[in-house]
Order: sequence, then C-alpha cells, then structure tokens
Amino acid sequence: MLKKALIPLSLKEPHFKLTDMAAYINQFGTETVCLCHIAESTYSESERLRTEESLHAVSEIFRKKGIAAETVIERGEIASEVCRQAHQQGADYISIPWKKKNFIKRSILTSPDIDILRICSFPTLIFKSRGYLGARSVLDTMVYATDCKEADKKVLPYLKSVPFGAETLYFLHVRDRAPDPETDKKRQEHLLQKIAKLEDACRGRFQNIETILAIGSIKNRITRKSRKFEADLVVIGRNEKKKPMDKLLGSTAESLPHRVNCSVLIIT
Amino acid sequence: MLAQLKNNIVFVISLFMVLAFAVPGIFRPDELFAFATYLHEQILEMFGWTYLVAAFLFIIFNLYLAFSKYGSIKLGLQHEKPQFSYFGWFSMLFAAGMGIGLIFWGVAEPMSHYLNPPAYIEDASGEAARFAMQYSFFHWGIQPWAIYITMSLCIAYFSFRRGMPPLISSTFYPLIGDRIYGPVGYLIDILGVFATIFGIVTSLGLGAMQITSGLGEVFRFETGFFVVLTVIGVVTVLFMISTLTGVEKGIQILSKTNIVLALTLLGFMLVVGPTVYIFNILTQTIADFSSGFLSMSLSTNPFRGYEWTQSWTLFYWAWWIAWAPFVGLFVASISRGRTISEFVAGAMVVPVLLTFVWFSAFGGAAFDLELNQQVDIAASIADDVSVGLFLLYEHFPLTPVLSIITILLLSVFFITSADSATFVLSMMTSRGDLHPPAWKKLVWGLVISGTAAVLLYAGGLEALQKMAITAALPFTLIMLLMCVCLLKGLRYEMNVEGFRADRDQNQND
Repeated sequence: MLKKALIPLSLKEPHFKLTDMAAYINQFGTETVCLCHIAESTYSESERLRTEESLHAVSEIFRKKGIAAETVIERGEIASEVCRQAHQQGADYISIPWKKKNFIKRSILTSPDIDILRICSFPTLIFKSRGYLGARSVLDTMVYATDCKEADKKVLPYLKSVPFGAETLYFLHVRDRAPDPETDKKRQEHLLQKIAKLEDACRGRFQNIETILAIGSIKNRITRKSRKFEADLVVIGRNEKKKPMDKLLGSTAESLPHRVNCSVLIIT
Repeated sequence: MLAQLKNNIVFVISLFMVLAFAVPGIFRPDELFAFATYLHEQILEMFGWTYLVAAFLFIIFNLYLAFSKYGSIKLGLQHEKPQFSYFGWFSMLFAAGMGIGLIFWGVAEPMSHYLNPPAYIEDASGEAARFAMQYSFFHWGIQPWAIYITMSLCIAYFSFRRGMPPLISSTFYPLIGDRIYGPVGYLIDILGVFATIFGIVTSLGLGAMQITSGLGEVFRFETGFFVVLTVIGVVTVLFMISTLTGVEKGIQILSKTNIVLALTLLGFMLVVGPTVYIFNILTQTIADFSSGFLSMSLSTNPFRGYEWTQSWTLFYWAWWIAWAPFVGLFVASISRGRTISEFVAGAMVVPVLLTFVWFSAFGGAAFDLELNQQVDIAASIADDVSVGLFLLYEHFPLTPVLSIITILLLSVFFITSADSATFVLSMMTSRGDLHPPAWKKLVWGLVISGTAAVLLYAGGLEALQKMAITAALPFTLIMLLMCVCLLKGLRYEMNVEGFRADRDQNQND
C-alpha cells in the first residue's frame, strides 16, 4: 500500500517543498513516484524541452531519497488527466504538493488541486510543507478522524500496514450531541467500544494510542484538535457524497486541506 | 437549604421579578407605562420585520416536518396512544390557543379594521370591509397556530419521546448539552415564566373587564372596580378548584363545556343570523386570504400603511410569540401519543377553520347590520370593543340568553386559561414536574389574580401587556433556535438511531 505515488506538478513548486515531500512519503514506504505534468495548451518544442529538464531536476530530488522516479507529460484538462494517469500508471495514491488557496480561489476561481480532490476517487495525500520553522524529519503524531462507520473499513488496512512510523495516534470522532443525556451517554459508550476495536487492530504499530470524542462541527473540531495535538498528519476516509448539501458545499475530506495546517491523507 | 433553593431557583427568581415589575405598576403606573411604551415602540420599529419573517418560517418548518420522513415520528413512545380523544384535544387546543380573545375580537376586530383601515384604503367602504375580514382571518389564522405548534412540537418531542422534563430549556440539549442545567437553562425558563405571567395577567384583567361589561349590559347596572374585583375573586376560586383537580379532569371538562357553548352560539348565529350573507363572506374571505396569504405574511408595508401594520399585525405576532411558552407547554402536555404529522395537521387545520367560521358568522352579522340594514353598529363597537358582541346581540332575538351564554363562555374560557397557566407556571418552576406541588399552584394562582386586580385598580395593565410583548423579542430567537434543536434531534433519531421500535425496545429493557 502507498508504494507508488503519482505527483501532479505545475513545475512552479519550490524545490525545498518537494525535498520535504520526498522525505515525508519515504516514511510511508513509497518506492516509486510518477511525476506528472499536464499542460492545458499546446506548446512549442523548446517549451517541451524545458519542461522535460525541469521534471528531470525534480526526479533527482526523489532519487536522492531512494525513491525511483518516472516522468509523464500530457496535455488536457488537468484534474481529469491526473486521475486518468493515476489509473494508467498503476499508482496507489496521488500526492499533491499543496499550495494554500485564498477564499476567492477556493470558492470562485477553483484550482487543479481542488478539482483533483473533488473528482478523483483515488487515495490522496495533501502534502503541506511545515517550512523551516516547523521542520520535523519524522512523522510524530497522527490523527485519524474516524466516522465509526463505513470509512473505517477503508482506512483500517492502511493504518495496519503502512509504516507511518508515528509515535502517537489519536482516534478522533466528532459527532452531534444526542437529543437527551441518557441517549448521549449510551451513544458515547457505544462509540468507545467501536473505537476500542480499532485501537486493538492498530496496537503495536504506534507507541501511544488515544481516543478523543468531540461534539460539534466535524470540520471545525478536526481542525482544532489537530492543531492542539500538533499533528503531522490527519487521516480521513471519504464516503460517497449522498446529501445534496455535501454535493453543493463539498465533503469534509474536501474541505479539510484548506483548514488544517498539516498534511492530510484522504482514503477513498 | 441551598439544595432546596437551587431546586426552586426558577420559582424564586421569577416570583421576585414579577413583583419587581408589578410594584412600579401599582405605585408609578404612568412611568411604567411610558417605559413599556418606549420599549415596545422601539422593538416594533427596529425588529418588526423579524416577527413577520419568523412567523412565516415557523409555518414552513411545521409543514416540512409534517410532510417529511419525520412526520411519522410519535410524540411519545411508539406504542403510546393519544391521551385525549379528538374532541377533547381540539377543545383544549382551541380554549388554550384562542378562546377568550376570539370572543373579545370576533365582532370588534372586523369593525375596527372597517372603520380604521390603513391610510391607503378609504374607511367605511366596501374595500375596507373586505380588507377587515381578510386581515381578521390573517391575524387569527395560520401564523398564531404555527407559532404555538413550533413551541409545542419541540417540548413534546424532547419530553415525551426523549424522556426529558417538559421545560423550554430541555429542548436546547442538542445545542448546549448539560448547560441546560445551569444559568443558561434557568434564563430560558425564567423568560418563559415571565412572558406567561405578563400575558395571563393582562388577559385576565381584560377578560374580567369584558365579563363585567357583559353583566352590566344584561342586568343593566353600573359597573365599577368593585364588580371587576368580585368577578376576579369568583373566577380565581373556580380556577383554583379546577387546577387542583388536575389537568385530565378539570381542564378537559371545562374545555369541552366551552366548545359546546361556543358551537351553540355559532350555530345560533349561522341559523338565525344572515346565513347566506355569512357564507358569502366566508367563501369570499377564504379566497382573499388564500390568494393574498404570501403577500400578507411578508408585508411590512414600508412605503404605505406601516403604522397600521405595526399596531395590528406586528403587535399580534409579538403577542402570539409571548403567549407561545404558555400555550406551547400546555398543548404539548395534551398531545402525547400523536405523530408529528397528525399534530401539525390537527392543530393547523381544525382550530383555524373554526376561527374562520367564527369571524365570518359574528363579523358577517355585524356587517349585515352596518351595510345592509343601516344600523350604526361599527362606530359603537369601535368606541368600546369589550361590549362588541353584546351590542350585536341587541339586534337578535333571545338577547339576554345569548348574553348569559357569552358571559358563561367568557368565564369558562377565563377559568380554563387561568387554570392552564397556573399549571404551566407551576410545572415550569418545578423543574418540569408534571405533578407540581399544590402550594405552588396556589401561589401562582394568587399572584396572577392579585397582580391583575391591583394593576386594574392602579391602571398599569396596559404597561404589563407591552412588557409581555417586549419579552417576545428574545423569545423569537429562542424559538428559532428551538427549531434547530428539534431538527438536530429528529435527524439524530433518523440517521443514528435508525428510528423507531428498537429505541422503544431499548427503553423498555
């Protein structure tokens, strides 16, 4: 799992960020990356040569970390083409070097990254470089935002087999408060039992495992808790969007990368 | 001692606050009136539109619940059957929700609108008559019931289905959790008590005046404060007896008596009065009401006639909202075992239709006298609205009998309202105990009657009515939040618990 990553590149990414990313995904046991540049318009032969050179330079960054690198240059609509390439190249996941988007870009102008998140049904890592101040070579703290439902079935195999190497794993479940105190108490007990099973399944892979139950808005709570625990990675499962409001506003998994200040692994 | 105080904190604070407002009403009625008027005018000026929007939202909310998947959820456990028969339930709904007000305004409101319509309508014209009937339907029609239903649904769901105490604060559990047991919860309940007391004291005072006017008309004697005081005294004794016998017996018997008396009067007017004319008015006004419903619901009339909207529509909406804690709690307590759809449909259709027929019959009879028989009844009624119905009777046979039935009806409505209010106040100040201690009922009964009598004497009753309307503003926000809480609760039940029998199963286990 997570052996091969497809990395969409605009080739404007700073190299230090890609170096951080290489170190980061190296911990997941990623052995191969497919560096993919999608051009939206036709370009000249000289431009093509420049692109190949840039991709080659990026490949070197990954190779230095012991990760084999392949390159792909294609033309088309970026998000759709990235998804198609991920299938075609046999990638296990897509890793996006994330650039912060402002409100206008998020809501009106959109960006290829946002489109990839929206349309791709591939496990996706949103990599956020901590920069020089927050640089930490190893992944120390992880938060798994569990829904205690279907998403667990998708995420648990990753937690059990991917060598994340984090010391602490928080199981975070955010829920609505039940309509009455008695039901709320029962619900809490029921959830703790469910999460205890998850804990048992992951025991041995993490030194500390803790469970946090929170009440309130899912997006806000995950953001706050991940900041509070200084998480290096938030893992979340993504379900099919069934509700009209989710289709309109986007799911939790889609909005989380804009909110949290660490990397996010979305399992679909 | 401290624990006892904490248990009765809502009771103690509410009692203290009622006295704190009643005392200036006795000793400084003019200052209290000026203060209350200022508050009242400012609120209607600044927030009048919120009442219109909120009342309209409550209708949408209720219809959504009734027709959505949540409609089949029962206000109680799944196996529970309704506690009262349809007749008993409708009688109590009607008595608590409209009752005395309908007797008071059944003739007076159409006549008032006819003579004093908004500036853009010529007064005492055909258009004014049509407008008068349309707006009488509107003010007493769907919106008041939507407001009551919203409050009742929330309380009934959280109390009877979720097993929480029947308090307004209980409905906030999905939003604020255990804080409902702290100052925030107390504040919500105290505000409910506050609005209920001010509302019922005002209603009691005005009701006593109308009964006295009626007695004066029938028996031809000079009415003074002593007669009003006697009326209040007699009614107090009666409603205390009723309330101490318990809600199942007292209120149900009185409400059924009420509805029989009201239907007798209505039947008389439909048969002996201008029958065809009444049905013409009913049909025409239903058409006007239906076609203009959306426009009336959201018309603040900022360009013309805003003063009229302020003094009638906005006043009514604020008044219904101020009444909502009392009526809502009471209606919830009699609606256990009904489904949400049944509750919404029942409470929004039957009382509204009865109200429409009532206004058509009595308002129509008055219009017939005014427009077709050239009897100058509108001006006389507009001069003193409390004698409106009695003046109408003078033009029909069996005048004394009709007047006595009306006085009886007023008294019974009066007793029922005071009885329900005493029960609700005691319940709200006893942490939602459905069997509150008798001494608390006694205290609230005496406080209500005493305050009404004293304020009638001192002249601070109108100020208190305006204070009740002031309390409606925070309550509008509270009610909107209650809708959010109810939706959260229902959604939780549907999505997390998977709705239904298994929940009851768990509770029984």
